[in-house]
Amino acid sequence: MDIKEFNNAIETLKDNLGKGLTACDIRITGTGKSIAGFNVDTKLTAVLEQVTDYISKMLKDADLPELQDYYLMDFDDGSLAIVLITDKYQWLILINKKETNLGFLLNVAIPDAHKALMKVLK
Amino acid sequence: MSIKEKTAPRKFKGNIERIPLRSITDYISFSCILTAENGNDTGALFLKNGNLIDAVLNNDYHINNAKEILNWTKGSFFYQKWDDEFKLDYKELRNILHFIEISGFSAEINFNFNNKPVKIVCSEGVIVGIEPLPKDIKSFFNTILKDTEKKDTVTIKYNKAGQTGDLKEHFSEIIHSEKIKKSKKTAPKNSSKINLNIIKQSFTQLQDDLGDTFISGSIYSADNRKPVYSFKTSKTVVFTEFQKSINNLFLKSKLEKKNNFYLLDLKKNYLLFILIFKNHHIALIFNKTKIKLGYLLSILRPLLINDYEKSINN
Repeated sequence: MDIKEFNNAIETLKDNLGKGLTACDIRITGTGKSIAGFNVDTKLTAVLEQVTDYISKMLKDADLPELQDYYLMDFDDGSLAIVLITDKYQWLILINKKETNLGFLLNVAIPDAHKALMKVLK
Repeated sequence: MSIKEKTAPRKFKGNIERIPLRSITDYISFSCILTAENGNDTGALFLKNGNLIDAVLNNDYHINNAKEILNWTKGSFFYQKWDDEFKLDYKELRNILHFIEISGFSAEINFNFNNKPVKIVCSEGVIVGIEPLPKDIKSFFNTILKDTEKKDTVTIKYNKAGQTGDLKEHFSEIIHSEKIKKSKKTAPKNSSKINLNIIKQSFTQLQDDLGDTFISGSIYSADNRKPVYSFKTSKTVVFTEFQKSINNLFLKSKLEKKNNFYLLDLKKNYLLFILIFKNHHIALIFNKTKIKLGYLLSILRPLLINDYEKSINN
């Protein structure tokens, strides 16, 4: 595991989103351990990691397919949380919607970030 | 430079044949009125911070008109970002006033009428001043709004706090005739009663518009784990308990965040979209290889919210 590579992936996301990126945190799933981040809100990212567990349980109970690459959670304070999922890691990203173009976020920034994360893990 | 400045010009005029309106709405994250015509009809989409909040088609103000306008395959469109100060055609005056009202904007509108300058001052969506003050305000608005052929411009100073005055007129009463449907959003009533026919129509419409892209839909009561209504599914998804757990989690962590929706990317090409309301949750499953996320979030979501609000207000 090369932390520098994770940091490079975060830098790409920062370049893509500019002011729109409020915070992000790459964590090892199930350990609560953060390995790289930007402006990390530890309380929120810990909660989001737990949300991922709840979602997985809810999907299993509902007999629906498992999470694949990501999920989004939209909040009424103008923020949007995006959680990118891999087998071992979760990349928790918090966005300021007023500063972000939704089309660009969904079609460019997030796919780019996911590719960057997968590249690091190879 | 932020992304929105990089990706969407502040002002743009184009052809729908070359750039479909759905693509334009995907890339606008600011507030503007996107006007369009297709040779027979004229329409406009009202976008507040990039989110569709209302639409007008041939003077009929209703958000459901957005579907028809977005499906136009020919014609032209124009938008101008609502910045500090900008100009729009005089014929857009009714739409400008409507947009200010439904968005709760503060703005100053300047134009010439009978060769004399007129200023309308609005504060948080309400008219608080007119200079010079007409004797009969309703007849003044009737006159200025009827003059749609006038070749002139309106200057708008946006987000300037309006001077407070004695005059506090609500736009709906003076800019919309009784024949024109009002589309001002109303807050959902604090009620778990729901008009299921509206929800059924909404899901059937989704099926008609999207075909096999729309896999299934259900609406749940927030107090009960059973679905109130399900469309094309017999599965009972336990969102109620899930949502309660999430709420408790945020509460315990003292994080003052309330969620509006979830979008879950699932295996087997499923995309699960969950809209959270106070008394109900709506869960929809789409084929993720066929649905555009921008369309889902910027167009379908406001339409679904509108249908839900209608279902609890009726």
